[in-house]
Amino acid sequence: MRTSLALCTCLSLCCCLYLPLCKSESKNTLQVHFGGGKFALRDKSVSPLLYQNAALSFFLAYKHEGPKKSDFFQLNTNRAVLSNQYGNTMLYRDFCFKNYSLYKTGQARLKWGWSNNNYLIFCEIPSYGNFNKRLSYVTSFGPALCYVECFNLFGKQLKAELPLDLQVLGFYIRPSYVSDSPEAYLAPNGNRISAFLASAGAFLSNQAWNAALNPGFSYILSSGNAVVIQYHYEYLCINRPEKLSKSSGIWTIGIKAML
Amino acid sequence: MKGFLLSVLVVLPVLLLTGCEQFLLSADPEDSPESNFEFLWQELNNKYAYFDHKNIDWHEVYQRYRTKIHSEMDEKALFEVLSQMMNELRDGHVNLISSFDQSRNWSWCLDYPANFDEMLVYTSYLGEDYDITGALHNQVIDSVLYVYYSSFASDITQAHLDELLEKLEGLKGLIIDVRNNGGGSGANAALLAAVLTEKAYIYGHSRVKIGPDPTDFSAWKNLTIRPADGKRFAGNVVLLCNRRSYSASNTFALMLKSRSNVCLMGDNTGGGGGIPAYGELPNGWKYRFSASQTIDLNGQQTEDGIVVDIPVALSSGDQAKGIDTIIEAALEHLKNNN
Repeated sequence: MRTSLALCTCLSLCCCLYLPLCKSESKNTLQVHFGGGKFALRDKSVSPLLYQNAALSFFLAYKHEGPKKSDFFQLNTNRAVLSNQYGNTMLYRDFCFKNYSLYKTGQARLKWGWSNNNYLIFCEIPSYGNFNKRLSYVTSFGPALCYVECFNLFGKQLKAELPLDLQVLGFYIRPSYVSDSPEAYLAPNGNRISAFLASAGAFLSNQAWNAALNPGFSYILSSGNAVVIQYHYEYLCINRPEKLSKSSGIWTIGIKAML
Repeated sequence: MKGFLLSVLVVLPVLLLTGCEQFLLSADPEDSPESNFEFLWQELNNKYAYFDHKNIDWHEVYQRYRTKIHSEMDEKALFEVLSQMMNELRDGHVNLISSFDQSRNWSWCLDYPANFDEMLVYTSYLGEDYDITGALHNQVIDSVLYVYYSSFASDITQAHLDELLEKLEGLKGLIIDVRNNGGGSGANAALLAAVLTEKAYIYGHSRVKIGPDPTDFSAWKNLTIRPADGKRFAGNVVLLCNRRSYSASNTFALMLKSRSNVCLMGDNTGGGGGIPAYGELPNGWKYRFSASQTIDLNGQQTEDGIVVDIPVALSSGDQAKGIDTIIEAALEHLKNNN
Protein backbone atom coordinates (compact mmCIF):
# COMPACT_ATOMS: atom_id res chain seq x y z
CA MET A 1 0.00 0.00 0.00
CA ARG A 2 2.75 2.46 1.02
CA THR A 3 4.85 1.55 -2.04
CA SER A 4 1.89 2.08 -4.30
CA LEU A 5 1.16 5.47 -2.80
CA ALA A 6 4.80 6.49 -3.18
CA LEU A 7 4.77 5.52 -6.84
CA CYS A 8 1.54 7.41 -7.42
CA THR A 9 2.97 10.49 -5.74
CA CYS A 10 6.05 10.38 -7.96
CA LEU A 11 3.91 10.00 -11.05
CA SER A 12 1.72 12.91 -9.97
CA LEU A 13 4.76 15.14 -9.43
CA CYS A 14 6.06 14.22 -12.85
CA CYS A 15 2.75 15.12 -14.40
CA CYS A 16 2.77 18.51 -12.72
CA LEU A 17 6.01 19.37 -14.46
CA TYR A 18 5.39 18.20 -17.96
CA LEU A 19 5.14 20.17 -21.17
CA PRO A 20 2.44 18.89 -23.50
CA LEU A 21 3.95 17.51 -26.66
CA CYS A 22 2.73 14.53 -28.63
CA LYS A 23 4.99 12.74 -31.02
CA SER A 24 3.82 10.11 -33.41
CA GLU A 25 4.55 6.57 -32.28
CA SER A 26 5.28 3.39 -34.16
CA LYS A 27 2.34 1.88 -36.01
CA ASN A 28 2.91 -1.58 -34.55
CA THR A 29 4.22 -2.29 -31.09
CA LEU A 30 4.74 -5.32 -28.91
CA GLN A 31 4.60 -5.00 -25.12
CA VAL A 32 5.87 -7.39 -22.48
CA HIS A 33 5.03 -6.65 -18.84
CA PHE A 34 5.78 -8.38 -15.55
CA GLY A 35 4.49 -7.38 -12.20
CA GLY A 36 2.57 -8.09 -9.09
CA GLY A 37 -0.17 -6.75 -6.95
CA LYS A 38 -3.11 -7.70 -4.89
CA PHE A 39 -6.00 -10.06 -5.60
CA ALA A 40 -9.21 -10.34 -3.63
CA LEU A 41 -11.82 -12.96 -4.47
CA ARG A 42 -15.08 -14.14 -2.97
CA ASP A 43 -16.76 -17.14 -4.57
CA LYS A 44 -19.88 -17.95 -2.60
CA SER A 45 -20.12 -21.36 -4.24
CA VAL A 46 -16.97 -22.16 -2.27
CA SER A 47 -17.11 -19.95 0.81
CA PRO A 48 -18.74 -16.77 2.09
CA LEU A 49 -15.27 -15.57 3.10
CA LEU A 50 -12.94 -13.27 1.22
CA TYR A 51 -9.75 -14.85 -0.11
CA GLN A 52 -6.92 -12.46 -0.88
CA ASN A 53 -3.17 -12.19 -1.28
CA ALA A 54 -0.38 -10.92 -3.51
CA ALA A 55 -0.33 -12.16 -7.09
CA LEU A 56 2.21 -12.50 -9.89
CA SER A 57 1.26 -11.28 -13.36
CA PHE A 58 2.51 -11.47 -16.92
CA PHE A 59 1.20 -9.48 -19.87
CA LEU A 60 1.96 -9.76 -23.58
CA ALA A 61 0.29 -7.21 -25.84
CA TYR A 62 0.28 -6.20 -29.49
CA LYS A 63 -0.96 -2.81 -30.66
CA HIS A 64 -1.58 -1.55 -34.15
CA GLU A 65 -2.22 2.14 -34.63
CA GLY A 66 -3.82 3.21 -37.90
CA PRO A 67 -4.70 6.72 -38.98
CA LYS A 68 -8.24 6.41 -37.62
CA LYS A 69 -8.37 3.16 -35.68
CA SER A 70 -6.21 1.42 -33.07
CA ASP A 71 -6.34 -2.30 -32.34
CA PHE A 72 -4.99 -3.72 -29.12
CA PHE A 73 -4.67 -7.41 -28.24
CA GLN A 74 -3.49 -8.53 -24.82
CA LEU A 75 -2.73 -11.90 -23.24
CA ASN A 76 -2.51 -11.91 -19.47
CA THR A 77 -2.04 -14.53 -16.79
CA ASN A 78 -2.10 -14.15 -13.01
CA ARG A 79 -1.16 -16.57 -10.26
CA ALA A 80 -1.67 -16.38 -6.53
CA VAL A 81 -2.09 -18.43 -3.39
CA LEU A 82 -5.06 -16.71 -1.79
CA SER A 83 -6.06 -17.20 1.81
CA ASN A 84 -8.94 -16.18 4.03
CA GLN A 85 -8.71 -14.64 7.48
CA TYR A 86 -8.53 -18.12 9.06
CA GLY A 87 -5.59 -19.23 6.93
CA ASN A 88 -7.49 -21.58 4.61
CA THR A 89 -5.93 -21.39 1.17
CA MET A 90 -7.07 -21.34 -2.44
CA LEU A 91 -4.77 -21.73 -5.44
CA TYR A 92 -5.75 -19.13 -8.03
CA ARG A 93 -4.82 -18.92 -11.72
CA ASP A 94 -6.39 -17.00 -14.55
CA PHE A 95 -5.80 -16.53 -18.23
CA CYS A 96 -7.22 -13.56 -20.05
CA PHE A 97 -7.35 -12.50 -23.67
CA LYS A 98 -8.57 -8.95 -24.11
CA ASN A 99 -8.82 -6.78 -27.18
CA TYR A 100 -9.77 -3.17 -27.86
CA SER A 101 -10.76 -1.49 -31.12
CA LEU A 102 -10.56 2.25 -30.59
CA TYR A 103 -11.43 5.09 -32.97
CA LYS A 104 -10.09 8.63 -32.94
CA THR A 105 -12.54 11.36 -32.00
CA GLY A 106 -12.59 15.11 -32.54
CA GLN A 107 -10.58 15.32 -29.32
CA ALA A 108 -7.03 14.33 -30.18
CA ARG A 109 -6.44 12.89 -26.73
CA LEU A 110 -9.53 10.71 -26.58
CA LYS A 111 -10.29 7.48 -28.43
CA TRP A 112 -13.38 5.36 -28.03
CA GLY A 113 -14.64 2.07 -29.33
CA TRP A 114 -15.40 -1.39 -28.03
CA SER A 115 -13.63 -4.12 -26.15
CA ASN A 116 -13.85 -7.88 -25.77
CA ASN A 117 -12.71 -9.82 -22.72
CA ASN A 118 -12.20 -13.58 -22.52
CA TYR A 119 -11.50 -14.81 -19.04
CA LEU A 120 -10.65 -18.27 -17.73
CA ILE A 121 -10.44 -18.50 -13.94
CA PHE A 122 -9.18 -21.64 -12.24
CA CYS A 123 -9.40 -22.04 -8.47
CA GLU A 124 -8.42 -25.02 -6.38
CA ILE A 125 -9.22 -25.50 -2.72
CA PRO A 126 -6.81 -28.23 -1.58
CA SER A 127 -8.70 -28.97 1.62
CA TYR A 128 -11.95 -29.84 -0.18
CA GLY A 129 -12.10 -33.53 -1.08
CA ASN A 130 -14.56 -33.11 -3.94
CA PHE A 131 -15.43 -30.21 -6.23
CA ASN A 132 -12.09 -28.74 -5.23
CA LYS A 133 -11.15 -27.63 -8.75
CA ARG A 134 -13.41 -24.92 -10.02
CA LEU A 135 -13.32 -23.41 -13.47
CA SER A 136 -15.15 -20.25 -14.53
CA TYR A 137 -15.16 -18.78 -18.00
CA VAL A 138 -16.39 -15.39 -19.24
CA THR A 139 -16.62 -13.93 -22.73
CA SER A 140 -18.03 -10.43 -22.87
CA PHE A 141 -18.21 -7.27 -24.96
CA GLY A 142 -18.65 -3.64 -24.07
CA PRO A 143 -17.66 -0.03 -24.69
CA ALA A 144 -14.10 1.18 -24.19
CA LEU A 145 -12.28 4.47 -24.26
CA CYS A 146 -8.71 5.60 -23.92
CA TYR A 147 -7.35 8.98 -22.87
CA VAL A 148 -3.81 9.72 -24.10
CA GLU A 149 -1.55 12.59 -23.08
CA CYS A 150 1.99 13.05 -24.43
CA PHE A 151 4.48 15.47 -22.91
CA ASN A 152 8.14 16.34 -22.34
CA LEU A 153 9.77 16.19 -18.95
CA PHE A 154 13.35 17.43 -18.58
CA GLY A 155 13.73 16.95 -22.31
CA LYS A 156 12.49 13.33 -22.20
CA GLN A 157 9.39 12.18 -23.96
CA LEU A 158 6.64 10.70 -21.80
CA LYS A 159 3.18 9.44 -22.54
CA ALA A 160 0.27 8.92 -20.17
CA GLU A 161 -2.56 6.59 -21.16
CA LEU A 162 -5.81 5.72 -19.45
CA PRO A 163 -7.67 2.86 -21.14
CA LEU A 164 -11.02 1.98 -19.62
CA ASP A 165 -13.55 -0.70 -20.52
CA LEU A 166 -16.91 -1.84 -19.24
CA GLN A 167 -18.25 -5.24 -20.27
CA VAL A 168 -22.01 -5.36 -20.71
CA LEU A 169 -22.97 -8.37 -22.83
CA GLY A 170 -21.70 -11.90 -23.21
CA PHE A 171 -21.90 -15.29 -21.55
CA TYR A 172 -20.24 -17.13 -18.73
CA ILE A 173 -19.75 -20.71 -17.57
CA ARG A 174 -19.68 -21.20 -13.84
CA PRO A 175 -18.64 -24.30 -11.93
CA SER A 176 -21.42 -26.55 -10.74
CA TYR A 177 -22.03 -30.13 -9.77
CA VAL A 178 -22.33 -31.02 -13.45
CA SER A 179 -19.29 -29.17 -14.73
CA ASP A 180 -16.83 -29.88 -11.99
CA SER A 181 -14.85 -32.70 -10.54
CA PRO A 182 -15.28 -35.42 -9.59
CA GLU A 183 -16.55 -35.82 -13.14
CA ALA A 184 -16.47 -39.58 -13.03
CA TYR A 185 -18.93 -39.65 -10.17
CA LEU A 186 -21.80 -38.19 -12.11
CA ALA A 187 -20.81 -39.16 -15.62
CA PRO A 188 -18.15 -41.83 -15.86
CA ASN A 189 -16.55 -41.57 -19.29
CA GLY A 190 -19.25 -39.00 -20.06
CA ASN A 191 -19.17 -35.98 -22.30
CA ARG A 192 -17.59 -33.24 -20.23
CA ILE A 193 -18.30 -30.59 -22.87
CA SER A 194 -22.06 -31.12 -22.74
CA ALA A 195 -21.96 -31.06 -18.94
CA PHE A 196 -19.93 -27.87 -19.08
CA LEU A 197 -22.36 -26.16 -21.42
CA ALA A 198 -25.14 -26.92 -18.97
CA SER A 199 -23.46 -24.46 -16.62
CA ALA A 200 -23.53 -21.54 -19.06
CA GLY A 201 -25.42 -18.29 -18.43
CA ALA A 202 -25.96 -14.93 -20.09
CA PHE A 203 -23.61 -12.11 -19.10
CA LEU A 204 -26.10 -9.27 -18.75
CA SER A 205 -25.74 -6.07 -16.81
CA ASN A 206 -28.08 -7.12 -14.01
CA GLN A 207 -26.31 -10.46 -13.56
CA ALA A 208 -22.66 -9.76 -14.21
CA TRP A 209 -20.16 -6.92 -14.22
CA ASN A 210 -16.65 -6.55 -15.52
CA ALA A 211 -14.74 -3.29 -15.68
CA ALA A 212 -11.06 -2.56 -16.09
CA LEU A 213 -8.90 0.52 -15.79
CA ASN A 214 -5.24 0.46 -16.86
CA PRO A 215 -3.52 3.83 -16.37
CA GLY A 216 0.10 3.80 -17.48
CA PHE A 217 3.11 5.98 -18.21
CA SER A 218 5.58 5.34 -21.02
CA TYR A 219 9.11 6.71 -21.02
CA ILE A 220 9.99 6.89 -24.70
CA LEU A 221 13.59 6.02 -25.54
CA SER A 222 15.55 7.58 -28.38
CA SER A 223 15.11 4.36 -30.39
CA GLY A 224 11.36 4.85 -30.27
CA ASN A 225 10.90 1.91 -27.89
CA ALA A 226 9.53 2.68 -24.47
CA VAL A 227 9.68 1.60 -20.84
CA VAL A 228 6.16 1.38 -19.43
CA ILE A 229 4.85 1.48 -15.88
CA GLN A 230 1.22 0.48 -15.69
CA TYR A 231 -1.43 -0.19 -13.09
CA HIS A 232 -4.10 -2.76 -14.02
CA TYR A 233 -7.28 -2.59 -11.99
CA GLU A 234 -10.09 -5.03 -12.74
CA TYR A 235 -13.42 -5.81 -11.12
CA LEU A 236 -15.47 -8.86 -12.04
CA CYS A 237 -18.79 -9.93 -10.60
CA ILE A 238 -21.08 -12.81 -11.63
CA ASN A 239 -24.24 -13.08 -9.59
CA ARG A 240 -25.49 -16.52 -10.65
CA PRO A 241 -25.81 -19.25 -9.62
CA GLU A 242 -23.83 -18.16 -6.57
CA LYS A 243 -22.08 -14.82 -6.51
CA LEU A 244 -18.46 -14.56 -7.55
CA SER A 245 -16.72 -11.21 -7.14
CA LYS A 246 -13.09 -10.41 -7.81
CA SER A 247 -11.07 -7.25 -7.50
CA SER A 248 -7.44 -6.99 -8.48
CA GLY A 249 -4.84 -4.26 -8.72
CA ILE A 250 -1.56 -5.12 -10.42
CA TRP A 251 1.52 -2.92 -10.93
CA THR A 252 3.66 -3.88 -13.90
CA ILE A 253 6.81 -2.68 -15.57
CA GLY A 254 7.51 -3.57 -19.15
CA ILE A 255 8.97 -2.76 -22.50
CA LYS A 256 7.13 -1.53 -25.55
CA ALA A 257 9.07 -2.44 -28.70
CA MET A 258 8.45 -1.13 -32.19
CA LEU A 259 7.89 -3.75 -34.86
CA MET B 1 -2.90 24.32 -15.46
CA LYS B 2 -5.01 22.42 -17.98
CA GLY B 3 -2.24 19.88 -18.46
CA PHE B 4 -1.97 19.39 -14.70
CA LEU B 5 -5.67 18.72 -14.40
CA LEU B 6 -5.56 16.24 -17.27
CA SER B 7 -2.65 14.35 -15.74
CA VAL B 8 -4.50 14.19 -12.44
CA LEU B 9 -7.32 12.52 -14.36
CA VAL B 10 -4.89 9.76 -15.30
CA VAL B 11 -3.36 9.40 -11.85
CA LEU B 12 -6.53 9.76 -9.79
CA PRO B 13 -7.90 6.27 -10.47
CA VAL B 14 -4.60 4.77 -9.39
CA LEU B 15 -4.67 6.75 -6.16
CA LEU B 16 -8.24 5.71 -5.52
CA LEU B 17 -7.83 2.05 -6.30
CA THR B 18 -4.34 1.05 -5.25
CA GLY B 19 -4.41 -1.08 -2.14
CA CYS B 20 -8.18 -0.91 -1.99
CA GLU B 21 -8.89 -4.12 -3.88
CA GLN B 22 -10.40 -5.92 -0.93
CA PHE B 23 -12.44 -2.90 0.18
CA LEU B 24 -14.36 -2.89 -3.07
CA LEU B 25 -15.77 -6.28 -2.15
CA SER B 26 -18.21 -6.55 0.71
CA ALA B 27 -16.93 -7.43 4.18
CA ASP B 28 -16.88 -10.99 5.46
CA PRO B 29 -20.18 -12.11 7.00
CA GLU B 30 -20.65 -11.72 10.74
CA ASP B 31 -18.97 -14.46 12.77
CA SER B 32 -21.24 -15.23 15.71
CA PRO B 33 -22.79 -18.47 16.98
CA GLU B 34 -26.12 -17.34 15.58
CA SER B 35 -24.79 -16.42 12.14
CA ASN B 36 -22.79 -19.67 11.82
CA PHE B 37 -25.82 -21.71 12.83
CA GLU B 38 -28.09 -19.91 10.38
CA PHE B 39 -25.56 -20.22 7.56
CA LEU B 40 -25.02 -23.95 8.09
CA TRP B 41 -28.72 -24.72 8.46
CA GLN B 42 -29.55 -22.74 5.30
CA GLU B 43 -26.77 -24.29 3.21
CA LEU B 44 -27.85 -27.80 4.15
CA ASN B 45 -31.48 -26.88 3.59
CA ASN B 46 -30.63 -25.82 0.05
CA LYS B 47 -28.10 -28.50 -0.85
CA TYR B 48 -28.47 -31.66 1.26
CA ALA B 49 -29.98 -34.42 -0.87
CA TYR B 50 -31.63 -36.91 1.49
CA PHE B 51 -34.20 -35.05 3.61
CA ASP B 52 -37.04 -36.61 1.68
CA HIS B 53 -35.59 -40.11 1.45
CA LYS B 54 -34.69 -40.21 5.16
CA ASN B 55 -37.91 -38.53 6.20
CA ILE B 56 -36.12 -35.73 8.05
CA ASP B 57 -38.05 -32.55 8.85
CA TRP B 58 -35.18 -30.07 8.64
CA HIS B 59 -37.39 -27.16 9.74
CA GLU B 60 -38.29 -29.06 12.89
CA VAL B 61 -34.56 -29.68 13.45
CA TYR B 62 -34.04 -25.92 13.13
CA GLN B 63 -36.59 -25.20 15.85
CA ARG B 64 -35.03 -27.75 18.18
CA TYR B 65 -31.42 -26.62 17.77
CA ARG B 66 -31.90 -22.86 17.37
CA THR B 67 -32.88 -22.63 21.04
CA LYS B 68 -29.50 -24.12 22.00
CA ILE B 69 -27.60 -21.31 20.25
CA HIS B 70 -26.76 -18.15 22.16
CA SER B 71 -24.23 -15.39 21.64
CA GLU B 72 -22.18 -16.17 24.78
CA MET B 73 -21.38 -19.79 23.93
CA ASP B 74 -17.74 -20.63 23.21
CA GLU B 75 -16.57 -22.29 19.99
CA LYS B 76 -16.44 -25.80 21.46
CA ALA B 77 -20.01 -25.54 22.70
CA LEU B 78 -21.06 -24.25 19.28
CA PHE B 79 -19.20 -27.10 17.59
CA GLU B 80 -21.02 -29.60 19.79
CA VAL B 81 -24.47 -28.24 18.95
CA LEU B 82 -23.77 -27.96 15.22
CA SER B 83 -22.32 -31.49 15.18
CA GLN B 84 -25.42 -32.85 16.89
CA MET B 85 -27.60 -31.06 14.36
CA MET B 86 -25.62 -32.55 11.47
CA ASN B 87 -25.79 -36.02 12.99
CA GLU B 88 -29.56 -35.82 12.64
CA LEU B 89 -28.85 -36.50 8.96
CA ARG B 90 -27.49 -40.01 9.77
CA ASP B 91 -25.02 -39.76 6.93
CA GLY B 92 -21.37 -40.89 6.72
CA HIS B 93 -20.71 -38.15 4.19
CA VAL B 94 -21.67 -35.43 6.66
CA ASN B 95 -18.92 -33.82 8.75
CA LEU B 96 -18.15 -30.59 10.51
CA ILE B 97 -14.41 -29.88 10.46
CA SER B 98 -12.76 -27.42 12.84
CA SER B 99 -9.14 -26.99 13.86
CA PHE B 100 -9.83 -28.95 17.07
CA ASP B 101 -12.27 -31.69 16.04
CA GLN B 102 -14.23 -33.33 13.25
CA SER B 103 -17.79 -34.53 13.71
CA ARG B 104 -18.78 -37.77 11.99
CA ASN B 105 -21.48 -40.39 11.80
CA TRP B 106 -20.47 -44.02 11.53
CA SER B 107 -23.83 -45.66 12.24
CA TRP B 108 -23.69 -47.11 8.71
CA CYS B 109 -21.02 -49.60 9.81
CA LEU B 110 -20.56 -49.69 13.59
CA ASP B 111 -23.81 -51.56 14.26
CA TYR B 112 -22.90 -54.40 11.89
CA PRO B 113 -20.50 -57.36 11.96
CA ALA B 114 -17.03 -56.67 10.59
CA ASN B 115 -16.90 -59.61 8.15
CA PHE B 116 -13.27 -58.77 7.47
CA ASP B 117 -9.91 -59.49 9.02
CA GLU B 118 -7.12 -57.79 7.09
CA MET B 119 -4.37 -59.74 8.87
CA LEU B 120 -6.07 -62.96 7.82
CA VAL B 121 -6.13 -61.84 4.21
CA TYR B 122 -2.42 -61.06 4.23
CA THR B 123 -1.26 -64.11 6.18
CA SER B 124 -3.51 -66.80 4.67
CA TYR B 125 -4.22 -65.59 1.14
CA LEU B 126 -1.90 -62.88 -0.16
CA GLY B 127 1.09 -64.50 1.55
CA GLU B 128 4.56 -63.05 1.44
CA ASP B 129 5.00 -63.07 -2.31
CA TYR B 130 1.91 -61.16 -3.44
CA ASP B 131 2.27 -58.51 -6.15
CA ILE B 132 1.65 -54.83 -5.52
CA THR B 133 0.29 -53.46 -8.79
CA GLY B 134 -0.27 -49.82 -7.96
CA ALA B 135 -2.84 -49.86 -5.17
CA LEU B 136 -3.97 -53.36 -6.09
CA HIS B 137 -2.47 -56.11 -3.91
CA ASN B 138 -2.91 -59.38 -5.78
CA GLN B 139 -2.11 -63.07 -5.73
CA VAL B 140 -3.12 -66.10 -7.78
CA ILE B 141 -4.97 -68.56 -5.50
CA ASP B 142 -6.21 -71.90 -6.93
CA SER B 143 -6.18 -70.57 -10.51
CA VAL B 144 -8.15 -67.48 -9.46
CA LEU B 145 -6.72 -63.96 -9.29
CA TYR B 146 -7.48 -62.39 -5.91
CA VAL B 147 -7.18 -58.59 -5.81
CA TYR B 148 -7.45 -56.60 -2.59
CA TYR B 149 -8.18 -52.89 -3.12
CA SER B 150 -8.12 -51.20 0.29
CA SER B 151 -9.00 -47.62 -0.74
CA PHE B 152 -10.37 -45.95 -3.84
CA ALA B 153 -8.44 -42.89 -2.68
CA SER B 154 -5.32 -44.68 -3.99
CA ASP B 155 -5.24 -44.08 -7.73
CA ILE B 156 -4.98 -46.85 -10.27
CA THR B 157 -4.04 -46.53 -13.94
CA GLN B 158 -4.80 -48.39 -17.14
CA ALA B 159 -1.24 -49.76 -17.02
CA HIS B 160 -1.97 -51.34 -13.61
CA LEU B 161 -5.13 -52.92 -14.95
CA ASP B 162 -3.40 -54.16 -18.11
CA GLU B 163 -0.88 -55.92 -15.89
CA LEU B 164 -3.67 -57.63 -13.92
CA LEU B 165 -5.53 -58.60 -17.08
CA GLU B 166 -2.39 -60.22 -18.42
CA LYS B 167 -2.15 -62.31 -15.25
CA LEU B 168 -5.79 -63.30 -15.64
CA GLU B 169 -5.20 -65.09 -18.93
CA GLY B 170 -5.95 -68.79 -18.49
CA LEU B 171 -7.30 -68.36 -14.95
CA LYS B 172 -10.79 -69.36 -13.75
CA GLY B 173 -11.87 -65.93 -12.61
CA LEU B 174 -11.28 -62.79 -10.63
CA ILE B 175 -12.04 -61.88 -7.01
CA ILE B 176 -12.05 -58.16 -6.20
CA ASP B 177 -12.09 -57.51 -2.47
CA VAL B 178 -13.34 -54.04 -1.43
CA ARG B 179 -14.22 -54.97 2.15
CA ASN B 180 -13.32 -52.12 4.51
CA ASN B 181 -12.68 -49.91 1.46
CA GLY B 182 -14.21 -46.66 2.73
CA GLY B 183 -14.21 -44.99 -0.69
CA GLY B 184 -12.20 -42.32 -2.45
CA SER B 185 -12.33 -41.39 -6.10
CA GLY B 186 -15.23 -42.59 -8.21
CA ALA B 187 -12.92 -42.25 -11.22
CA ASN B 188 -10.90 -45.23 -9.96
CA ALA B 189 -14.09 -47.25 -9.59
CA ALA B 190 -15.15 -46.36 -13.15
CA LEU B 191 -11.71 -47.24 -14.52
CA LEU B 192 -11.84 -50.68 -12.90
CA ALA B 193 -15.42 -51.33 -14.02
CA ALA B 194 -14.52 -50.33 -17.59
CA VAL B 195 -12.17 -53.31 -18.03
CA LEU B 196 -14.89 -55.74 -16.93
CA THR B 197 -17.31 -55.05 -19.76
CA GLU B 198 -17.31 -55.51 -23.51
CA LYS B 199 -20.00 -52.93 -24.17
CA ALA B 200 -21.36 -49.71 -22.66
CA TYR B 201 -24.13 -50.04 -20.10
CA ILE B 202 -26.20 -47.86 -17.79
CA TYR B 203 -25.82 -48.87 -14.17
CA GLY B 204 -27.88 -46.27 -12.34
CA HIS B 205 -29.19 -42.72 -12.25
CA SER B 206 -28.15 -39.63 -10.33
CA ARG B 207 -29.60 -36.23 -9.56
CA VAL B 208 -28.42 -33.16 -7.68
CA LYS B 209 -30.24 -31.13 -5.00
CA ILE B 210 -30.77 -27.66 -6.44
CA GLY B 211 -33.12 -25.78 -4.13
CA PRO B 212 -34.59 -25.35 -0.65
CA ASP B 213 -37.57 -27.65 -1.03
CA PRO B 214 -36.76 -31.28 -0.13
CA THR B 215 -37.96 -32.26 -3.61
CA ASP B 216 -35.91 -29.66 -5.55
CA PHE B 217 -33.65 -31.76 -7.75
CA SER B 218 -32.11 -31.68 -11.20
CA ALA B 219 -33.38 -34.23 -13.73
CA TRP B 220 -32.20 -37.81 -13.32
CA LYS B 221 -29.07 -38.44 -15.30
CA ASN B 222 -27.96 -41.83 -16.57
CA LEU B 223 -24.78 -43.23 -15.10
CA THR B 224 -22.88 -45.12 -17.77
CA ILE B 225 -19.81 -47.33 -17.96
CA ARG B 226 -18.07 -47.54 -21.31
CA PRO B 227 -15.61 -50.35 -22.05
CA ALA B 228 -11.91 -49.59 -21.73
CA ASP B 229 -10.00 -49.12 -24.97
CA GLY B 230 -7.28 -51.60 -24.09
CA LYS B 231 -7.45 -55.10 -22.57
CA ARG B 232 -10.70 -56.26 -20.99
CA PHE B 233 -11.88 -59.27 -18.98
CA ALA B 234 -15.19 -60.95 -19.77
CA GLY B 235 -14.86 -63.91 -17.40
CA ASN B 236 -16.48 -64.50 -14.03
CA VAL B 237 -15.93 -61.98 -11.27
CA VAL B 238 -16.79 -62.04 -7.57
CA LEU B 239 -16.88 -58.76 -5.68
CA LEU B 240 -16.43 -59.06 -1.92
CA CYS B 241 -18.15 -56.38 0.16
CA ASN B 242 -18.99 -55.62 3.76
CA ARG B 243 -20.71 -52.79 5.62
CA ARG B 244 -17.49 -50.80 5.57
CA SER B 245 -17.53 -50.77 1.77
CA TYR B 246 -18.68 -47.19 1.58
CA SER B 247 -19.00 -44.26 -0.85
CA ALA B 248 -16.89 -45.06 -3.97
CA SER B 249 -16.92 -48.75 -2.98
CA ASN B 250 -20.70 -48.55 -2.80
CA THR B 251 -20.69 -46.97 -6.26
CA PHE B 252 -18.34 -49.68 -7.55
CA ALA B 253 -20.71 -52.35 -6.24
CA LEU B 254 -23.55 -50.55 -8.04
CA MET B 255 -21.48 -50.49 -11.25
CA LEU B 256 -21.02 -54.27 -11.10
CA LYS B 257 -24.42 -55.21 -9.65
CA SER B 258 -26.18 -55.42 -13.01
CA ARG B 259 -23.42 -57.45 -14.73
CA SER B 260 -24.40 -61.04 -15.46
CA ASN B 261 -20.81 -62.27 -15.03
CA VAL B 262 -20.38 -60.60 -11.62
CA CYS B 263 -21.52 -61.92 -8.26
CA LEU B 264 -21.59 -59.68 -5.16
CA MET B 265 -20.73 -61.66 -2.07
CA GLY B 266 -20.27 -61.02 1.66
CA ASP B 267 -22.38 -58.40 3.41
CA ASN B 268 -24.36 -55.49 1.94
CA THR B 269 -22.32 -52.36 1.35
CA GLY B 270 -22.55 -49.47 3.81
CA GLY B 271 -24.07 -46.90 1.46
CA GLY B 272 -22.92 -43.37 0.84
CA GLY B 273 -24.70 -42.91 -2.47
CA GLY B 274 -24.50 -39.13 -2.54
CA ILE B 275 -21.59 -37.12 -3.83
CA PRO B 276 -19.99 -35.36 -0.87
CA ALA B 277 -19.55 -31.62 -1.40
CA TYR B 278 -17.81 -29.10 0.86
CA GLY B 279 -18.43 -25.63 2.17
CA GLU B 280 -17.10 -23.14 4.69
CA LEU B 281 -18.78 -21.33 7.56
CA PRO B 282 -18.27 -17.66 8.40
CA ASN B 283 -15.96 -18.77 11.25
CA GLY B 284 -13.71 -20.75 8.86
CA TRP B 285 -14.93 -24.25 9.84
CA LYS B 286 -15.52 -26.56 6.91
CA TYR B 287 -18.48 -28.84 6.44
CA ARG B 288 -19.22 -31.77 4.16
CA PHE B 289 -22.58 -33.12 3.04
CA SER B 290 -24.23 -35.36 0.42
CA ALA B 291 -25.17 -33.18 -2.53
CA SER B 292 -26.75 -35.76 -4.81
CA GLN B 293 -28.84 -38.92 -4.87
CA THR B 294 -28.03 -42.11 -6.75
CA ILE B 295 -30.49 -44.90 -7.52
CA ASP B 296 -30.00 -48.31 -9.08
CA LEU B 297 -31.80 -49.59 -12.17
CA ASN B 298 -34.79 -50.59 -10.02
CA GLY B 299 -35.10 -47.13 -8.50
CA GLN B 300 -33.62 -48.11 -5.11
CA GLN B 301 -31.56 -45.48 -3.30
CA THR B 302 -27.93 -46.57 -2.99
CA GLU B 303 -27.60 -44.41 0.14
CA ASP B 304 -28.89 -47.46 2.00
CA GLY B 305 -26.20 -49.74 0.55
CA ILE B 306 -26.11 -52.33 -2.23
CA VAL B 307 -27.60 -55.74 -1.47
CA VAL B 308 -25.20 -58.59 -2.25
CA ASP B 309 -26.23 -61.54 -4.43
CA ILE B 310 -24.91 -64.16 -2.01
CA PRO B 311 -24.72 -63.16 1.67
CA VAL B 312 -21.80 -64.81 3.41
CA ALA B 313 -20.60 -64.04 6.95
CA LEU B 314 -17.09 -64.44 8.25
CA SER B 315 -17.25 -67.31 10.72
CA SER B 316 -15.28 -66.81 13.92
CA GLY B 317 -14.48 -70.53 13.91
CA ASP B 318 -12.97 -70.25 10.42
CA GLN B 319 -11.20 -67.07 11.40
CA ALA B 320 -9.54 -68.88 14.31
CA LYS B 321 -8.32 -71.53 11.88
CA GLY B 322 -6.86 -68.94 9.53
CA ILE B 323 -9.69 -69.24 7.02
CA ASP B 324 -11.66 -66.35 5.52
CA THR B 325 -15.13 -67.81 4.98
CA ILE B 326 -16.02 -65.19 2.39
CA ILE B 327 -12.92 -65.68 0.23
CA GLU B 328 -13.40 -69.44 0.41
CA ALA B 329 -17.01 -69.06 -0.74
CA ALA B 330 -15.85 -66.86 -3.62
CA LEU B 331 -13.23 -69.41 -4.70
CA GLU B 332 -15.83 -72.15 -4.56
CA HIS B 333 -18.29 -70.06 -6.55
CA LEU B 334 -15.77 -69.44 -9.33
CA LYS B 335 -14.74 -73.13 -9.38
CA ASN B 336 -18.38 -74.22 -9.75
CA ASN B 337 -19.20 -71.65 -12.40
CA ASN B 338 -16.47 -72.52 -14.84
